[in-house]
Amino acid sequence: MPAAVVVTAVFENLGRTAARAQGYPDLRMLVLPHPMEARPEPEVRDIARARFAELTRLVAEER
Amino acid sequence: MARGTLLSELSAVPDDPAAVLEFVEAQGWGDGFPVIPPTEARVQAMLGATPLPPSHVVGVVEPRRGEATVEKIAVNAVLAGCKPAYLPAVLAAVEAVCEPRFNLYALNTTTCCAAPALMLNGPARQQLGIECGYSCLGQNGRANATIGRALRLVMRNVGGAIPGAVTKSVFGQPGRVSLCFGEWEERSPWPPFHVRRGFAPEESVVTAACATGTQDIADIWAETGEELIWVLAHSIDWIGNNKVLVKQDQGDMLLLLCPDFAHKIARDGIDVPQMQRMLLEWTRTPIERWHRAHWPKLEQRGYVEGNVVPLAARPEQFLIAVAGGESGHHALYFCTFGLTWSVSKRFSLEGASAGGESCDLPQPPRS
Repeated sequence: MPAAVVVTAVFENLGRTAARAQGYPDLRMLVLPHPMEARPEPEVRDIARARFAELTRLVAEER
Repeated sequence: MARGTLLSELSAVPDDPAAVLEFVEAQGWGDGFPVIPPTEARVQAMLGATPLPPSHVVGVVEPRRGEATVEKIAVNAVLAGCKPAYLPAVLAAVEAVCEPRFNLYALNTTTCCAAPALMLNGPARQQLGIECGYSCLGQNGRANATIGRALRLVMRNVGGAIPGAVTKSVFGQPGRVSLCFGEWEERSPWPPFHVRRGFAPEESVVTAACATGTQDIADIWAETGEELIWVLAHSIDWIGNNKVLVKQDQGDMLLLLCPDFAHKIARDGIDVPQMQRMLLEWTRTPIERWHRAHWPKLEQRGYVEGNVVPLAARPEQFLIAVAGGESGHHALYFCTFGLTWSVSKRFSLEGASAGGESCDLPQPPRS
């Protein structure tokens, strides 16, 4: 089943290291800005709207 | 005598301590402190302390999932400054942290400053010179310093626990360089920790527990064991405790009592199980201690019982051991980050680490 993960920027390296170690070197990954926690909810929603199409493309792309 | 052909790549480095340190740091293999060059002769000498072949895989080290072979562990043990005699303890420590229930993946990647705390029990303490008393957690003794450091270097060099890049610990902590000590069984009023876990007194055992730090607990006023346990309980139930962030039935936490404290408690007829029950009861924290805005968040996670937030679900989650100097007045709490269960492994200085055997541990209740 196609899958993608979403991480914030400071966790990208960890995510790729873990994915490689688990045998998924080409894991589809969408990297969002960091930090997310302190942003106002409207801003988080704006980021989600702006990047959602990218996420669906990642999941749907042929590999 | 050589223990077999080594597979590690050899590098030519000038025979100078400063040049070796520069090289090791440039490769990203070190922790900043000076190292002993792991020459082939030194690694072979280290390997002489175990009958296991160099290629034997002791564990898979998360998060890189590197295979910790006896050879790789020996190389890191030399780097750390271990004597060859320490190797069986290091092998057992690696084996312990690689147990799934220790959850090394989480420990090595968390934003928390969690580190393995290694506690040794049994005759190996005397044979290796493990410090159990004064300043046993730091600054006292080569065995304590280098066994703990060897494990850390394995976690880094085999497991990929590189600060910043992979390990997301915001602060780290000194225990991420080395944290190893022995229980002072001879000054404990209770059976040794490993015996309470089902091992024989004559067995040597290393226990890996989780430590987000070394929190001192001081008391000069308690006259009874009950008063003292009250002090202990209310010194470990603070609301910023990382343990509060996970379900109450997750993880165990190690509390060290100095010999005087242990004897004060035992003198009043309180044994370890009773003390554990008292700690469980007295670490049920009134929700009023949290900001009102946090109440619904705690409730949503199911952390609230009535109007209290328990720190743990079962008495066995409080691990009790005796260590530290005889000057008294202090206990020490290793707060857990919550997602780790301590693991104990026996080892022998006569032979190899005992191939994966360990005692039964309390398991979380089924939900």
